[in-house]
Amino acid sequence: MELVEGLQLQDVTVSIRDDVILDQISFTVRPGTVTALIGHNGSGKSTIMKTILGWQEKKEGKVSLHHIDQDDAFLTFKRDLSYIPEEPFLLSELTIMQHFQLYGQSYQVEEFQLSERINEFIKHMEIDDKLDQYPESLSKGMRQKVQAICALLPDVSLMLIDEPFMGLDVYASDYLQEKIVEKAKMGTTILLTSHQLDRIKDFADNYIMLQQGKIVDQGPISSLPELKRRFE
Amino acid sequence: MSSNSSTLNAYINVKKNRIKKKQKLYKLALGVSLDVTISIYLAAFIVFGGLILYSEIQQYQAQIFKVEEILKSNYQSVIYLIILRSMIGSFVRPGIVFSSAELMLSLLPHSRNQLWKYCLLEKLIKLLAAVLLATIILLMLVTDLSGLFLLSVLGLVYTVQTLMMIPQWRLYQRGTVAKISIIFVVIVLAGLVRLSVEFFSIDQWIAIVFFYVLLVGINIALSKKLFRHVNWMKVVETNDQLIWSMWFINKISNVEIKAPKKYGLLQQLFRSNKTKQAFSYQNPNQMYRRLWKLYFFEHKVQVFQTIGGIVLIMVLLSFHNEWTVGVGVSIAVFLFGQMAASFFVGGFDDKLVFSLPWDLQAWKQSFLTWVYGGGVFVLLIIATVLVFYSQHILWIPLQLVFYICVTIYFTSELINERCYILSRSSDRISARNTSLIILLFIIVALSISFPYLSVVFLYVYFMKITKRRSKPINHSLYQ
Repeated sequence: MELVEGLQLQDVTVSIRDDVILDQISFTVRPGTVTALIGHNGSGKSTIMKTILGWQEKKEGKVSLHHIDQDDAFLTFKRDLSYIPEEPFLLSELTIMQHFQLYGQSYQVEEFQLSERINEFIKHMEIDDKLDQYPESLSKGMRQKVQAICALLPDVSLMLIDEPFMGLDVYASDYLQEKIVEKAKMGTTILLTSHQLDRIKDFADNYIMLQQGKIVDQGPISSLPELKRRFE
Repeated sequence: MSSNSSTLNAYINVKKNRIKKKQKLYKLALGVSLDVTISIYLAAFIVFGGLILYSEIQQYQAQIFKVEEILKSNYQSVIYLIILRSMIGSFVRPGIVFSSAELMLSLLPHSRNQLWKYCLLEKLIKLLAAVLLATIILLMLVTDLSGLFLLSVLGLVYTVQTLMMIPQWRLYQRGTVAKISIIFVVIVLAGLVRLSVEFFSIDQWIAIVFFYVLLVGINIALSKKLFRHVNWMKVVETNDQLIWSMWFINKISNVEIKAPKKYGLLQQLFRSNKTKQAFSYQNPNQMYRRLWKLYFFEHKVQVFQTIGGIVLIMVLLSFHNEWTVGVGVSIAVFLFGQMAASFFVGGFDDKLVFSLPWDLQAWKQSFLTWVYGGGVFVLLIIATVLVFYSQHILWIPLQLVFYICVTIYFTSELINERCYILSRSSDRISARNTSLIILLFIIVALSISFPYLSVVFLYVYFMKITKRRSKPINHSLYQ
């Protein structure tokens, strides 16, 4: 199969010991679109995320982003993606501000751009008074906000978002949704997982439905009423 | 900015902040626990305590020189000890302190492999500072040991520890059975090398060079598969626990940082997929074995304390002479048997067991399966001490068989006695058997100096077993 623009998975199989977790998964997410991975718990959504991130070893198959094969140039591949995990993954060693700086430095965001973006995000996410604190002193929702800001800081061509609205208040959820749409409009490829079908139908373009590690259906999100009926 | 320098900057940045945070925590804890008066008294105590310790050490200079002499003729034992220490350490530590901080950095555009290499380098630098510089300075200040001797011993320690980092990392990723098997192979190899050194009167430095070459070869072979089948989450959780478990802070805050539940050695042993399988209805022993397993898991602290005590006794007594090593082996066998007997009785305290119409014979057999499994550890400890210490290295296999027989005999006699008590039988261990047990322990103690005693006893033992087998078993005892 020819490598295409955007994110492409070709026949990806993941197995842990003898259990097949992902079975011959193939799909493409075009640049500037938002695609939602949906399925019951244990269907393989998070494993797809981990495989794209390189956390989970593939048994076979290919993952590419804008023609760059994950196996051939992993660092280049990774430099072009950011990730919001379902559970906030922050360091006990760093304050909230230091997390933002670390992300900025790692993705080589210009200093003025970085401070501009930090100021905007912390204001909207209402964490401007928490910058000197360590993650463990924050609530889970607050930590989730910090994680989301970290992932929004760099300009990348792929964003992986695992349950983006979990633990966020309504205002922060709306703001994050707004930012995701904005990123997509700027050409970023967005792949997210969510159980909140009512919310994702408002801004996602496509869906991929998983069941026991296999794709059972995919298509435009406009078919959501039909999809919801089947999903439930 | 190149990718590597950016990764190094991020790595150093995180490490600096970790130190800062730890300093903050220590300052807070010290602020809570110490005031000016206590600080002055504590400082005075440290100064005077140090002076007293120094003058005490000066009185033992002759013994210290003796240790120097022993070590000079036993450099190869130092190597074996370091190798074994790292291998045994692989049960609980990966050796390379790759924590969640590095894992998180690897989510960003930084290479995980590069970060791992920085962790390795950091450890080498810390080891150099701790092992070589700090220890040499401290020992030179408080003892009259020669600088050259200290440099050679600590040089050996440093280089072997360095060469063991990658093997420990790889071994940590392996299962328990593989680890035990590899450790066993290494002990046998060390024994064979020592045997060759003794038997062919080879210079010990040839053995040392052999181990260095072997370790370098192993490192080269393993470096190709450093990151194959690595359970990163397990590595990270273990290291996080090591990094953030600060004894002083834990005591002051009354919050103990516990090891990750899912990944400890015991959890692996006790929560494997096999344990989730249904019991075989045809085989009641299987269910009893599981119950015993759970019981040992609940009492793991006592199990470790006993085994730790055995290790300590063996190590301490092995530094004196052959007699004390023999006494050490006797004590090890005695402690092991007593521990087994007391666990056997303790198992009946379990309410579930108490409410079951148990089959005492099957219950005993299931218990002994686990006990003899644990006995392998004790045997490994004894074997290790003998390999390092014994002057009669050719006799070691026979001595070990002898100790196994004594352990089995002593443990089964004790358990049988407990069974008599539990079944309210009037039978007890006969005076003849008690005398035999006492004799056995004396022979064990003497067997290091006079290894041929092992053969004599083995003959007697087999005669006794044969005789016992020809006797009918009193089944009513277990009903």
